[in-house]
Amino acid sequence: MGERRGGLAAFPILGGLLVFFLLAPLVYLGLSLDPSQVQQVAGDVETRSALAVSLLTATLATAILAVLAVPLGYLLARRDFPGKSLLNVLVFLPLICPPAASGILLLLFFGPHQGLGELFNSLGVQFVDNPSGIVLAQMFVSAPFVIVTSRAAFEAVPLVHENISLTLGEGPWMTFWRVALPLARDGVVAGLVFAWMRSMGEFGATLVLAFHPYTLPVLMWVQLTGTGLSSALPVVTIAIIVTLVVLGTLFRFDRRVRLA
Amino acid sequence: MLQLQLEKRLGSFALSVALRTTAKRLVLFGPSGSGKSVTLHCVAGLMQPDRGVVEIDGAQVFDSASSLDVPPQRRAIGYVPQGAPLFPHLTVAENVAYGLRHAPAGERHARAEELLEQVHLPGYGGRQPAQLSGGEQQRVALARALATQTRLLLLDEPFSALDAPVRAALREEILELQGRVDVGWVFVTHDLEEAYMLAEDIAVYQGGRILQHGSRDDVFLHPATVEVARLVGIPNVLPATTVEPGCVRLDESGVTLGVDSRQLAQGRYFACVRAEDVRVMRKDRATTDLEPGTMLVGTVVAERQLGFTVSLGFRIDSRPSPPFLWVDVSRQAYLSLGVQSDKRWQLFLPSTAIHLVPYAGNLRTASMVMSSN
Repeated sequence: MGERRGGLAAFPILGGLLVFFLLAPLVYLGLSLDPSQVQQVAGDVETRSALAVSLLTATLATAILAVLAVPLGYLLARRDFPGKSLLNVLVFLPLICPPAASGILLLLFFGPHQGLGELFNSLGVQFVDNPSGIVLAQMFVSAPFVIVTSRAAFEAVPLVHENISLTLGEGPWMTFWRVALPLARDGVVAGLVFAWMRSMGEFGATLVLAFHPYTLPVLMWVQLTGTGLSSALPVVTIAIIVTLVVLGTLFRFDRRVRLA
Repeated sequence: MLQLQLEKRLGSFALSVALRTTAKRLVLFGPSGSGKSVTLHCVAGLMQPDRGVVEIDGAQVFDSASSLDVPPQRRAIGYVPQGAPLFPHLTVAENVAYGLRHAPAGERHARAEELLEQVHLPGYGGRQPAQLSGGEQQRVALARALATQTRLLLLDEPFSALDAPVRAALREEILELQGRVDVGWVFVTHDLEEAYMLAEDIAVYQGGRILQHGSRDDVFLHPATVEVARLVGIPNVLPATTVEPGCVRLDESGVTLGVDSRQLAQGRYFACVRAEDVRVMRKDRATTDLEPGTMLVGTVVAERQLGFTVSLGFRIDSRPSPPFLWVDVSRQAYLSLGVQSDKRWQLFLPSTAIHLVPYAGNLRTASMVMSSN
């Protein structure tokens, strides 16, 4: 036994170090918290509003991505078209871009006096300092998760199933709906969950494009820079708890949701 | 039933075939990579030929000249691909009823159950595909393909993943089922035995072309070329020249063989002889009552045990270069004759067992045939 594992003796130590690094700050947060203070902050109108904004915008951003990014993932997995390999690289752009840079790009294009923003502005739609701007920022940074994971999920579905569906009289749309999507479901859902989490945590691009209304991450930052570490801690705690509760419910609700 | 003329280029592979058949069971036979599956995909509409025509039951579904390309979902075909994969997220009944979405639920269930009965799986509807054996999955895939209004069933190497006994049973079942449902069947296979058993018509593929197409017996008994002879399992292909009516002389050895004179025109040929058509004569057997043919004497120089058949490699007595002949005997004959200890035998080649293929000036092919066997 020992002989067999001998070469890997260092692995648990290395992995353990990382787990410590990841979890220790969380545990330390728990130890240094004053529960009554968390309770009080949780009751604040400002906190509640930030929480509501975060939940709503992240969910909306994820829903829009489900409609736009899943079909793109399917096309990238199944169709050949000019520029496909370039597009496969470009979908990673938001991941490569520093979040602040993403925010600046979005501000440039969706700002009230430039690009597409000007057109929207003339129709009375504003993105800067508006929940719709938050959604845009979240979609921008989260899109790669949905595109890339759903592309991989569709690629993993054997094409023969779709071919059989076609020969059984179902056209491409029904084949997608009845065969490709159900078989790629786990991967697609994982991508959407990742996107939702990323949206909940989104800060950099949001800060630039839509500072107001506050999302939870923005509120944390405001507290930290305004009144210091101690006043940011309760908000941090609430954000972590809410995210864990939502994910936990999701896992419980559907055992097939897997992130790995 | 099916008419097609296809040209399709895929990388360095080029398919160029034409075929027309009224047979109810067509087998596309040939080595892997010879274009059989590509043909099937083009018939199904899952692949678009570069040029050509596909006609199923008199209805054109593809014609490059008029840009006609009926999509697969409207070609009324059933398709059972290699390994017969079922939709893993659906039950057996849902798999079978997949193509019946427009039918009312009750009718759908009834039809699924009826089809499952037809493939000898009554009551299997509620199971998950993963709970079924390979042979059962195959049957469900067949039932699913039959559920819709199918004109033509396309089966791509349908039994290749199955154990020998299951495979044999399923072939029987398919033949029996074929008698009951009025659709055309196209099988793709590289298995000689399977091709023989399932075919009414057979098209022999090699390198993206059809070497020969005809009725099963025509192709198996009268291969048109040396390549076809090799593909349909004839191990003895010997270059020969006619010497007089009803008689040819083997080129290298000078051995003369009596042949069925009807097929004989003056010239050079390949004499093709199936290994099972040569008779090893019992030592005490009288030779006076034999049909027309040639008696040879030879020595066993090679033996291959093939289960219940033994392949014997004979060197025929002749100078300067003795011809080599593969002869199949049953294991029982092998034992009762005592071939194990006695290597010298008389062989009888009935004239009717020798099929002559016109000489295409390709000796290398002939010697390749012999050494590959």
